[in-house]
Amino acid sequence: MLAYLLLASTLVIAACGLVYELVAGALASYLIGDTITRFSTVIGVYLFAMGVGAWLAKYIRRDLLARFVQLEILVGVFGGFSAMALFAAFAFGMAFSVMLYVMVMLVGILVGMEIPIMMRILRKRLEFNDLVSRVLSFDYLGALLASLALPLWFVPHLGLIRSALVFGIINLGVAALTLWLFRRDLDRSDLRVSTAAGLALLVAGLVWAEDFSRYAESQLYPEPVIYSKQTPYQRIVATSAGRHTNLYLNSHLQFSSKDEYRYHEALVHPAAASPARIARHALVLGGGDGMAVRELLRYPGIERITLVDLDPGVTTLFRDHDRFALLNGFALRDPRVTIVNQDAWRWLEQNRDTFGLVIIDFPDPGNFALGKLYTTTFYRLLKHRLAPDGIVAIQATSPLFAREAYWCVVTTLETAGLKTVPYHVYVPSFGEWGFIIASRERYTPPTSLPAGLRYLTRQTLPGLFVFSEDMARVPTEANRLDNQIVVQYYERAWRASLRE
Amino acid sequence: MNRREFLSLGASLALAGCAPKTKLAGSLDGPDYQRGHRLHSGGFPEPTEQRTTGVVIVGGGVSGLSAAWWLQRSGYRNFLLLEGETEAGGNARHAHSPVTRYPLGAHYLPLATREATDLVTLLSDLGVVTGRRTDGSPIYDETALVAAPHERLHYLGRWQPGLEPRGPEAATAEFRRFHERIDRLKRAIGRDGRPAFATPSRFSSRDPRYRTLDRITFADWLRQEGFRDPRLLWYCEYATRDDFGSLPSETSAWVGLHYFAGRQTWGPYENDLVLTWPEGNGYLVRKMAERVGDRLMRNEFAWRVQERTGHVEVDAFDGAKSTRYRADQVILAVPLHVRARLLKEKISPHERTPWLVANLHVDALPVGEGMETCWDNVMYDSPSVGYIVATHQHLTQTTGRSVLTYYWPLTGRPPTQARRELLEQPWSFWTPTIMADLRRVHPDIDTVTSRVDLWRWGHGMIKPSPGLITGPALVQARQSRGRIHFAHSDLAGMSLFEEAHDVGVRAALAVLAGS
Repeated sequence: MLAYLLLASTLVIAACGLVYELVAGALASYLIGDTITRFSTVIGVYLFAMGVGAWLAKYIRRDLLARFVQLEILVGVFGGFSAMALFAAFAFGMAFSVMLYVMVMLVGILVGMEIPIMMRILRKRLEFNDLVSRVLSFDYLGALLASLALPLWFVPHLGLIRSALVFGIINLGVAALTLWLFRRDLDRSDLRVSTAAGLALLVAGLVWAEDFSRYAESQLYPEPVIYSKQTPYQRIVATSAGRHTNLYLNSHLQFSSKDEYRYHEALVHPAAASPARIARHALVLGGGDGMAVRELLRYPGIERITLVDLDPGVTTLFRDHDRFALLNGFALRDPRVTIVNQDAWRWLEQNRDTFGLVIIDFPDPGNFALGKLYTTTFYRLLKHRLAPDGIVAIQATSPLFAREAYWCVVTTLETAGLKTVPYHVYVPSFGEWGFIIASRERYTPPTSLPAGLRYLTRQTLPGLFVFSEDMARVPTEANRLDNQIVVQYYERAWRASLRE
Repeated sequence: MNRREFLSLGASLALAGCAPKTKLAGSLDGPDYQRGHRLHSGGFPEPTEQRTTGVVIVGGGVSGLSAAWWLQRSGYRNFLLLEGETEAGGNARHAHSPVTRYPLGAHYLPLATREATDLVTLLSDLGVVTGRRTDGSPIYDETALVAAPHERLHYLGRWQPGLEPRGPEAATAEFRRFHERIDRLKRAIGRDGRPAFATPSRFSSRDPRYRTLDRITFADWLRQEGFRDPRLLWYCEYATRDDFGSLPSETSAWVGLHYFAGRQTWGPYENDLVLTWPEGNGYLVRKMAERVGDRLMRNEFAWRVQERTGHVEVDAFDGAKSTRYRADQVILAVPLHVRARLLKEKISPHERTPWLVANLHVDALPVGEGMETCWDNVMYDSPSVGYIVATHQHLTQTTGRSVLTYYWPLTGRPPTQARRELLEQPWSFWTPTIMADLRRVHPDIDTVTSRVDLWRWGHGMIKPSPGLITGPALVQARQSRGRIHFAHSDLAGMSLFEEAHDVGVRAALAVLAGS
């Protein structure tokens, strides 16, 4: 009976041992990439460390049972927290690779000591032939079970961090079981206390795993994270900087409430206040944060605003969550506003209305999917939905930082048959930022602006249309679906800025 | 990806979890080969019903649909098109799921050449060509042009842009020499004033200086010209396998060179630009089939064609009964081996390569080292000719769910043997090999894949062996016989949309001349 329970423990500890190895390999390849190299080096180092452990085991001569319990406690705690530690190392910018191999080495040595010691414990209870066969077969069986259970059940349900912690708890369970089985020979309160402490630590880790990874994430942002959510389209993270709120989508700063008024006033009013005509129905594409809508609501002549934004995660946050809705003055709750959570391209294709005023606030053309929204084809579709005297205002990345990309958008709009008026504004948290007015007719700049603006005035307005020499127009190709040149211009600017 | 994006990926993986699907679902399907093989063994019930019409087109592939399109365009509407399968389209068929439409076979059409005027007319009718420039060249609908980024190759452990393998050393002299050689052939004009290589191929020069290239294999030609770099030879092998399902050592040199030199794009477009849709050429045949309307009879399997005095009889089986179609004229838009069965003739000798096409439903595009996912993704050292991404042409922002179409021409062994294996082996035989091939380049392929649907093309493509194109067999096969006319890309010796279309239009013209 006792022998069987010990053999069952062999199976369990073998499973745990393999799990730590798999978790380290998986986490490393997720975080660093280069999967094949990561996996094979992690497995290699781990197996080597196990060999070192097996060799070191011979130096343990006395108190085998007590040593075994101590070993289980150490394996459980180190193995259980290994994923969390690696994740933290990555998040806090420590030397991840060093940490990875140190961790793998340490856990590997400890795991490598388990089986030799277990065999020696069982030596008195089984014949040698039987002993080797049984221990090794339970060892391999445990490895098989772990290799199946981890990917099929544990990781999908718990994720890597919590899976490792659960297996740590199992290791401590083995320690507790050993203490109970040998309660006569091994009456040591210090071991009981250590086991309980280790268990408590791991359970606490399990409870706070989610908070922890949120905290680790917050280390990547310069300010405390107050909200984070993964939607099917993007990761929304809001941080708080004193009285101000910053919003990041996929780690790109969307706005800081400190100076977003500069951006949104510049985005909306040069088009919306143009005296050519007061549009009654305005369209906003992107801009789910509701800031552009807030600016549009300053015009009493605008009767309806349709906001089309792909991600309900963003529009719901900025409509229903008071802390965020306050930033747009509860604009998204205004009865004049209709929110449509649909792909902008599909919506424009299906909706046949025409608009006198369109505000486009898409993310920068940083990838091929977003680049499609900056193509001649998209702008031709847009032109079809534009009233004859309608005006479009488009955010078009920075003319200073991504000069070619900015002027490429201008060229693309012109190729699509629209007249353009480029302009820009300085937003401290972004830098110099570019916009473009596009229309069929000649654009007339505003002669008056709505009341209550914080940045734009009739005096500052003309300055927006003046480009200094370092961001003046450069010749570019038009961005088409089949070349997506704007993405290349944008990437080139990024790479150049990283080199600096 | 920057560090933060990495981490948010890591965070979602670490907490939400991410693991291989417990069980991969899938299906194994293809044209109904058992019914096809009954053409040989017999046993169809004699017709119990009769219908009379002006023209019967047998076969709803590209050539049959093109013939129907031309008849309709010429104002001739008294015809029926009999398609033996449940859907028309032939090698250009497609399927669909809640995620997207996706191809089961041919997936792109190169931009039209100056010679392909009928093709440009078709594309105008379908709205793919939206207008003409002053020089007459077509203006294409931008959404039909393959979106950037176009293609990448997995070579030496990384995805790299383009399909030419680029190693650590500088661009090889051989690739440069090869392109120079091809450029000369592109411009070459025969003594009859025609281009040496044109598309459709019937516009090519008859000058023996070029036609004699059909007597040797493409591999011979490469050897004669001193091309030895294994990467160039791989590139050429990829080309002939991709377009014709044949190795350079089995392919006529004329045909191999036609692949490279036979398509001079008409209009100011890059030369390698192609037209494609989520469902591949399924889009074109779908639009063509829509126009044929209820004159297209699906699941109506023609099994006997007999010429009588003054009319032709076509007997077709719908799964329950046979119907006799009495027509003034017939177009047989079927492959050579089917046509021989229908007419009770000997099959003119040729080989056909079987293909296996796998459609993988993925929850996210698989990751790999190097360049990001393109429309066409080719792997060096793979039995496949790569995979394409069905959602690449989607204009909307996506969550990553997509369908990857993996193409595997079963070359390198006798076609009959490969065909037998293709028809006998189950889904569980093919799928692990395909997944293992993809796992080399995408370590997470098992994690993202939820379904693998296999489509087998037992008689996929005619093999353009030396002598086929210029030999007497195809010349003879193209000749109308009384009231029976012939179409199918087989008649051009190359399984290409442009050839099928051209041959289909020719057959329709022959019908109109005869009526």
